[in-house]
Amino acid sequence: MENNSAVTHRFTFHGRGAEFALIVLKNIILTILTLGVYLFWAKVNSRRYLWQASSFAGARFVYHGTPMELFKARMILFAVILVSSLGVFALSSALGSTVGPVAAAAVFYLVFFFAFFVIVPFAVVSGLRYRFSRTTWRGIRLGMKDCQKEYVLTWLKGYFLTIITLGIYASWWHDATYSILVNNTRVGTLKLRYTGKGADLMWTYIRGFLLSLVTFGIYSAWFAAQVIRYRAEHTYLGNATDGHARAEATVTGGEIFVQFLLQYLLLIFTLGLALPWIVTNTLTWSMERLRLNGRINFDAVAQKATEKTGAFGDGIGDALDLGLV
Amino acid sequence: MNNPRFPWRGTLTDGKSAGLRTVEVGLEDDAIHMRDASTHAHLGAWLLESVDIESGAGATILRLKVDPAVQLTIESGELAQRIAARRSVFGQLFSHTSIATKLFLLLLVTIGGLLAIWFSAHRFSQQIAHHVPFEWEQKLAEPLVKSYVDRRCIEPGIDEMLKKLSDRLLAGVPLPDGMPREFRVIVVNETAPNAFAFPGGMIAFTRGFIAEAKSAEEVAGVLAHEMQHVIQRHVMASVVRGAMLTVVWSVLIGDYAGMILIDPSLLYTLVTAKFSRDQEAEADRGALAMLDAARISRAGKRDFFARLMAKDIRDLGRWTEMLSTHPADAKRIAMIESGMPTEGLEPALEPVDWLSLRVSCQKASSYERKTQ
Repeated sequence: MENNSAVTHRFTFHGRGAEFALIVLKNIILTILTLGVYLFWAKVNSRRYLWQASSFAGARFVYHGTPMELFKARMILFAVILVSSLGVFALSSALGSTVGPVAAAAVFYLVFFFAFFVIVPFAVVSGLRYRFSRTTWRGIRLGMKDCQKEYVLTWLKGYFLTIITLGIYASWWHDATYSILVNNTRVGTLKLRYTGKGADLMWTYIRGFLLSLVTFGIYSAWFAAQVIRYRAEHTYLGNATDGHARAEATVTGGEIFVQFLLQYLLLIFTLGLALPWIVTNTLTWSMERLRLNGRINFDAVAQKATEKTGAFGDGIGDALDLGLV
Repeated sequence: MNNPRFPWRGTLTDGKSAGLRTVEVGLEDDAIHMRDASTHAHLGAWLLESVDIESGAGATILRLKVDPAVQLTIESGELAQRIAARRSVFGQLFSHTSIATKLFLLLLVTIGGLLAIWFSAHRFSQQIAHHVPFEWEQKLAEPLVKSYVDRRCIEPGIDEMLKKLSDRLLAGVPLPDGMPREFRVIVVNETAPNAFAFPGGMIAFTRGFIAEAKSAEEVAGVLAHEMQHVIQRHVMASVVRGAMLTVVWSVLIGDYAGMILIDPSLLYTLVTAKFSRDQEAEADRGALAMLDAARISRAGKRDFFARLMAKDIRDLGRWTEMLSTHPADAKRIAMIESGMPTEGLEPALEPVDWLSLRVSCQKASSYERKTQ
């Protein structure tokens, strides 16, 4: 029988720090000159470069998002924030004059925290959906099903259960949310599938938290490496007809620690100027350590109709500084 | 073997499936020509104006504008450079420049741009400040002013004495529209000798300044100078400049949540920060006119700068003067002495009032502290 795992498909990053630095500098100049309006074009420029510099199985990714999409989403976001803020302010003022300032302040903070805890996971998955929908590989669009509601509810449930169980539920929480993201993602007719279980990582999490605490965070690199390797080896890409491949991550804790330390020092000593080199170096380093093993007939993969998705979630993620590219 | 008419190799996708077709690519007559890599059958041509071209990271990607799913990828940036060179003279020049040179040039432009923004911020902020209604300036500074007024020297007669002096200096001076003909002058409990003007027209002297001043004419000279900063809207210009630079900095570092346009805690910094050289020179000129009109001797202002010059080791030479926000003290002294009136002068304060000011506000108990 043919050994399916004999075929390896690699990720490669072809970008260079100097090249990316040019784009970043141009973005900065034009963003300043336009008092921020160019920011959306800047984002698209950066994404286009980083996407194009990334390849899987020899084929480049392409980013199709447009600046106007991001601009419109940000304008909608501003309008939503303005209206909600006025509404909450009016509600608190009305309550303040009826039930007292303490109750009004309580309502204000409750609404604020509720909104925050719903908005953050919503922004994460919406932002991912938008980016996937604007990405092609070999001409095929990536996609993520509409799973915002499921993700937000799972995230909220996991958050509160993790608090109640003093952190023990964390591995189930992270596993559940990761599972939703992966199982709803596809590349044309190829689907991603995650088979991991939160219970498998329970002791890894407990050990990771405790040792990270006593080592002032140093052990977190080894903790992260274990989680990444587990998640990768339980992630598959494929379908019944075109074959499937299993992901593999070869990253180690020591590598993560050294990488982080070097980047941190570089950033400090160059006052942030080295950021483009750090970004490209990190992507190169990460992609070298990620691969898929297995035979897939990529030529047979077909385009699937994509669901409509806008840049609104992307805009929220940006406004909340969630750190997504 | 490469055909010179089709020097590049690429992959073509149709967007319906992930199938890749390997093609040979050539650039001729403002069109991209493609032929099958195996059979060499000519597949067609794309006019340059019908494609979007993305180049970077060692690859060129061309997409049809009418159907962006159709895409040609070439693992080389050379095609994009050739196309750019065809399109413009600048493209030709730029395509032959190394990345290091491009980076250096762009860095030069960035630094130049930032410097241009820095220097033009002074000019633009002054022009904007003249259009900001004075009531807005007063409103802006209300909380800060109140906190200082609540902690001023409250010895009997001090407020009235300083008001009389400021009214005398203001008499006959043309003021901008909307600016009331009344400046509040207070003494605050700080030991470092200093005087500063708040947005909205309040002037504060520190008790350290009053202690070091040798005459009421010195106080009058510095008061006139600070009043001119308010009258000429230098204080408002500082606020506007601070806000402009904060916005630019926030945009630069991407911290949009931290874009604080008017931050009360920023006001104190702006109030006590130095004005530009031009603003200081303007205030000097205006102050001398005020002193002359009020028939107060300029000697106090002169002696104040002479003492600063003697005390401060820095006698600014030509080079350091260019970099300093203050015109050299010697120049200021020369300006004061040029055309200095010596007749028909009256004391800035009656001797008994001057003595009272010097003595009264030196005790800690003279400063009221109100708590809400």
